[in-house]
Amino acid sequence: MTGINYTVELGSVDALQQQWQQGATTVAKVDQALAQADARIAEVLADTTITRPLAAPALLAAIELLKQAKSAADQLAGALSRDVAKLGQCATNYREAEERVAGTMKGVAIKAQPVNVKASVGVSGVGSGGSGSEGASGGGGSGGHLPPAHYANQAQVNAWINQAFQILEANGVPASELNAAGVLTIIEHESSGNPDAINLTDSNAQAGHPSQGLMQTIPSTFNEYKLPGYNSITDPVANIIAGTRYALSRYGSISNVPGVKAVAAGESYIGY
Amino acid sequence: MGDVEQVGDDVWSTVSDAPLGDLVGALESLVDQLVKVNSDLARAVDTMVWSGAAADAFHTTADRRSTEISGLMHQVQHAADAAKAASDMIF
Repeated sequence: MTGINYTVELGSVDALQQQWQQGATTVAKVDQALAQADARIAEVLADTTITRPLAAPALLAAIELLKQAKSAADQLAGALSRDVAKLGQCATNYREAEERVAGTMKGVAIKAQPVNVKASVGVSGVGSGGSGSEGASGGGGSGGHLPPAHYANQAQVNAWINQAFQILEANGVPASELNAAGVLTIIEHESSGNPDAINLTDSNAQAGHPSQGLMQTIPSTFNEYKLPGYNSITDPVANIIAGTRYALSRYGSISNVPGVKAVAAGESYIGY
Repeated sequence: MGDVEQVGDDVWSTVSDAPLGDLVGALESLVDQLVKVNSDLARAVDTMVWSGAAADAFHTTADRRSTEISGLMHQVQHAADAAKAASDMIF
């Protein structure tokens, strides 16, 4: 596995989430203040309609502008709150990946030399030490502080998508139905580009079949839509093959997947 | 952000019963709050140590939010201008 040259410091994502939450709170307060201002000007309008009739159009204009601003503030506060939730999910995903690596690394002696992370510890895109941009150097397996996690970058994910699409075409899926940008959107939001991502908290997990892999397919769906020879749910290409076939079967096209449609419309992603 | 909330709390408490002239000032204070929010969020994005597919997507989202906050700032400023125009006609 190559291309693991992107990093994340979990504290940085936490700080970002905290700052975003403060922004959401402030905008929500602005929203409330605008509603109060709207009501206050309406009171002034009622008081002055008779005594200062010439001011009424100006007051009505101010009220209309306040209503528009309030609507925008309301939408913005909601969008920021959804961003906060998404940042929290990203941080959770990263932490779970780090914990899996930490557990896998116990008792594994890693020499101080460049390693292929997936081949060494079985978790793709998670560094085992050092700070290099190509792979990672071993840290000695002392169980100390874990380095920042590494996730597949967009170029690597695109390469997996292209590989999967070639296989799909060879198996009869028309190229016209294969929307790489849409699949990339799904992957970005579902797994953050981590082929080993697993959701252990949602309803699927509670039902005993957690979503897994780049496109977060549940095992039964993966098994129904996988192609022969591509049988591992955490194999990135196999996961894209099954996820894409499922999406085409259920929604008719990739661009019709709810999350892809939402993002294309400038809205927040919706799970599929 | 602590300062923002402190100043903001003063604004929220005065809007509901403010004379129209004071209301204009309160609305302009809201614009100031939004300016600071935009600045704080931009600084947080600039200093984050996060890259990859998810980070790329978040950068796009952050850019969109910055544009939306700027748009809201202008809308509130226009409302403040309109309220001031009305206030000038009344008093």
